[in-house]
Amino acid sequence: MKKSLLIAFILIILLTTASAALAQGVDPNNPHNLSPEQQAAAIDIQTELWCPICQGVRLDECEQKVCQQMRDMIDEMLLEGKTKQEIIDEFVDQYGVVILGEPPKEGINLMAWITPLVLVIAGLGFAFWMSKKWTKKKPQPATPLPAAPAGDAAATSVTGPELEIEDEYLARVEQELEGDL
Amino acid sequence: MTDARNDAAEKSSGRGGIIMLIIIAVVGATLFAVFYYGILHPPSQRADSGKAPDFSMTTYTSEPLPPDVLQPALVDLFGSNYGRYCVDDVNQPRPKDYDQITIKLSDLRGTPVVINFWASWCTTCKDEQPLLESAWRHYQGKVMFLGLSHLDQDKNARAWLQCYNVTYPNALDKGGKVYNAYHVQGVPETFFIDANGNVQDYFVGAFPSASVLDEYIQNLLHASAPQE
Amino acid sequence: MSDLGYIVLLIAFILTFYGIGVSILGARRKDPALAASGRNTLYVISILILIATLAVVYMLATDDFSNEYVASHSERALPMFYKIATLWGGQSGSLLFWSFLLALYSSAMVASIWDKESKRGPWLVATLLSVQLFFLIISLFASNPFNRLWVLPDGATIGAVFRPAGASLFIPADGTGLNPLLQNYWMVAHPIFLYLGYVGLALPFAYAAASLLSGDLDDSWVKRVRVWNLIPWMFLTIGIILGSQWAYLELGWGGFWAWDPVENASLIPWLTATAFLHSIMIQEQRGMLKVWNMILAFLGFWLVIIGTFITRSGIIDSVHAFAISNIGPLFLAFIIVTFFAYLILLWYRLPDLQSDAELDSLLSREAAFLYVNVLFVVSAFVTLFGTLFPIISEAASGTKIAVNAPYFTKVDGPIFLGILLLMGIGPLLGWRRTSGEMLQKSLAVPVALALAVAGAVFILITRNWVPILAWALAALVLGTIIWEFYRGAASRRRATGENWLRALGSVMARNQRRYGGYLVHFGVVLMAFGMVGAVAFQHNLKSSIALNDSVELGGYTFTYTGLDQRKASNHDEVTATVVVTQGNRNVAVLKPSMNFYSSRAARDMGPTTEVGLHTSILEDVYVVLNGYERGGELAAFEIFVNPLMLWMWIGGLVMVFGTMFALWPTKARAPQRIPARQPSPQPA
Repeated sequence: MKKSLLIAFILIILLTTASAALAQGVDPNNPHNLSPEQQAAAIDIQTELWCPICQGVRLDECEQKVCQQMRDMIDEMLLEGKTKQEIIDEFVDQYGVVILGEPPKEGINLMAWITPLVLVIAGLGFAFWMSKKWTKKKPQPATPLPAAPAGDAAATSVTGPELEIEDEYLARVEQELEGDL
Repeated sequence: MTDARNDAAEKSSGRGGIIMLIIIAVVGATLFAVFYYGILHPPSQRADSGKAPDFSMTTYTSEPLPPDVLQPALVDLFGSNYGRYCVDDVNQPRPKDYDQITIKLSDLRGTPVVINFWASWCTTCKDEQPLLESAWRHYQGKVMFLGLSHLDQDKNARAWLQCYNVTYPNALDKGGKVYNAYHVQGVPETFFIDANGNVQDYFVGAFPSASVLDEYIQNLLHASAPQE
Repeated sequence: MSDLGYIVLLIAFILTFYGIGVSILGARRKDPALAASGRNTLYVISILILIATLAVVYMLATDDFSNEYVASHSERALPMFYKIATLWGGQSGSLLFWSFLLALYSSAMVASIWDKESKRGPWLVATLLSVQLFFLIISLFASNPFNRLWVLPDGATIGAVFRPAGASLFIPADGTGLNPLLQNYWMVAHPIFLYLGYVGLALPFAYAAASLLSGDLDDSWVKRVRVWNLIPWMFLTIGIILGSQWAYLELGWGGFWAWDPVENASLIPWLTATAFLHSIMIQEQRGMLKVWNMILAFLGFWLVIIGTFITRSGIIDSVHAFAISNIGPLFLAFIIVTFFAYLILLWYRLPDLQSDAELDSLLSREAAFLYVNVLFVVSAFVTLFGTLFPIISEAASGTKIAVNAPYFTKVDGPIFLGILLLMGIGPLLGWRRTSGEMLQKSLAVPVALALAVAGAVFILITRNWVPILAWALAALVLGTIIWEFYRGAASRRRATGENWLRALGSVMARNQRRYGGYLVHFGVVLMAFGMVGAVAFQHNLKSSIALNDSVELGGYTFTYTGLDQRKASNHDEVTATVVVTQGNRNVAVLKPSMNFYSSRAARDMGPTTEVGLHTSILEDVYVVLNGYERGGELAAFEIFVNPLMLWMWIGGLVMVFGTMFALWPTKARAPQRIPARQPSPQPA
């Protein structure tokens, strides 16, 4: 019911815009009278491509003439029945990688993808190496600390394996409360 | 805490500190290298002298667009009174000499070449195109003209060429390869290549008048003249 | 007025040399009188810079178009509010504004620590004045806000302080006007906070440098610098959030963060400053990571300068970057000089920066801090790398490429998720070491919450693993925070017998830093919650709507009911009325508009858009007017439904509130070191 209403709405819009197109050029938002599905597909592709002559402006947001032409081309290719990937590939071929908004994963530009990975691994590796170095000098391996002697915090508790852990935690909390972390 | 352990602690964190400083120094040096390059060779430093980067181009077909395609394309590019820009008969065919042929710049050695980067979406290119076409008609035989359309589409570019009845070879600069090789900054831009294949001069933006363009071509011819 | 400002700035410039010299002399001879003279010079310079700044403000307010800066950035019709804001609307004005903020900060910090820092004090003044010297050189010799306009005999107009030979003063009838994108309340407030953040990061740097220079390297510097890092950090946070709010409301593309170089330039130092404010806690508590902290203190400010260099030197183009200028080489020189000077200084003092303690266990809070620190710094450098990659790629292959949002979300996204994970686990780990059992026990609640959220999202909302993972991690952090608040209150309650609320209140009041920190984490959780919603579940639609017609999106119906035209002081406003309904319920009447500015600066840019926005806790309805035809019979709109956007801004507010809570001055209690190696911690 709702869907048919939507279609009715869109039909009305299409009719009005079509008549507008006859009278005044074309509807700037749907010059090729795409179906709603095709329109959604067009927006989907537009949000993955970037204006080639601007900085950081997505194709769907771009008011340049070159972007309008690109959007037209997407519409036309959709009408020809091309898939999203085919359309994007053809754009890269014709307009260059600059429209992708990210470095292509090939050649020298592969470096853009590898470097962050290397940095993360090297950074974490360095931290690990440092912490290993620091801990190695410890006289004994890390084992659970013995239960804290009964203090204020532990006064209400009864001894038992489970509560010992609790006590250790509370001792830590209290100590940190004092420590004013 | 024994002294031995203390020493070990000092040594290890000392080494960690040194390694950290070395890492920072390497990162800093890399950054400076990038900045140094960025300033010395700004991202778009034109190929403004020396050997002109070679390229080959496959020209647009000179087959005229069907009128029902041409007319809306012209309206889109030039507005409904496109006649203001275009030749009287936009449907007239363009010469077949350069119909989908491949031209290589290095094959033109011996002839001075004018390379014009343009685009159908470019506004200022509209003022320049008739000047280029008439210069070509005037110097044809002495100077070769090549047009490369940047970030363009077959239909729009062909409509444009028909509008001005452009008769020198024009091609799509596929993927912006030539544009990048010459480090062009925007359209229109024009490069003048002498008979030896060196960039003799360049012009940024649209030529303001036929005489300015003419002056550049005269200079090009002069520079290309045999040294005797 | 131009002359007055210039002369005052020149005097400040000359005094800076005296101030630096006398401070160094005072420090080396241990002469308090010389040191005090250096400090007083800093105060005087600050007042002079204040006068110079006021001179620019006065000229802007009185439309003194003989001044080049006023003539090229303001106009008569500009409302007074924006005229004054024009101080930071252009390059030379904003750099003078930096100078002014640095003067303000320097004076405040020096005044507050002078009595406690007899050894570091004079070095601190010398370092701060050296940074100030750099800004004064820029203002006086490279980007001068006091240039006047002159007509040369050949008819050309130039800006210069002194009359060029044969030139006569030129006073244009009106200015070229302020960039219309900047004529927005958010954009007026955003730079103030951003610059307060940027400039403030010079303080930790100066403090670290002063410690290194004086050789006074005990851990007291990290205690005292904490506040002077946290304040700029808070302002930077506010600045970044306001900037994204501006992008959201003003740029009309439905998003809030474009990973533009200018935005990255603000995020990069934020990331290292965040790392710094965490790692100084390790030094305070355990006396570890001393070299690392020295490096981080430097990195924050250094990356601010690098960011400024990148965005203003023209080596990378950016939408909001200021025009290409001659300040690039000066910034580069400053970057290189400070880098090597600091590195050599650090190298020289390296033997004095030994760790007091060792790491007891990999399963300890200091280990978690270490990893999260690395992730913050790596994400900063990865972002810097991505921002610079177009240059690197072009150098290597000659092909222009663009590095935009998709790259950064793919590369930074996983790192940020890693940070969220550590945010969830870290606070549950104890200093020194944590037993596996204890961790298991404290992780139970957060992990259960994370799994519950992941399951609920999977079943009810989406099968896409990115939002599932991000929300689950946010839930983990939330669980940890709840658990920590609960444990603190419970422990307090057990010790004192107070009721829950009181126990929570007093435990928070007694531990502002700790619980302020958790509040900030809570803000981050809310932001992550909102951001994931807005990015992963945004719907949008472009449509032309005829008058009284409607379209549907995301369950809403948008009816276009009219178009009005209105004249404002310096622009024309065309406003569409869009009625938003959901079923039979009226949701909102939105008024998206287009502003047509008449100033010269604006004409080339085309109209700006003002978004029509309806916010609710569930989602934002966001309508942009893109154009209209035949007097409004048909209007073109772009419509977005952005889920959970409000939570991002609430999260930002909570972050700021948490920081203020942590900063709020109370009677200071000396923090205690956690002992390095001791059989077991003694409960207090």
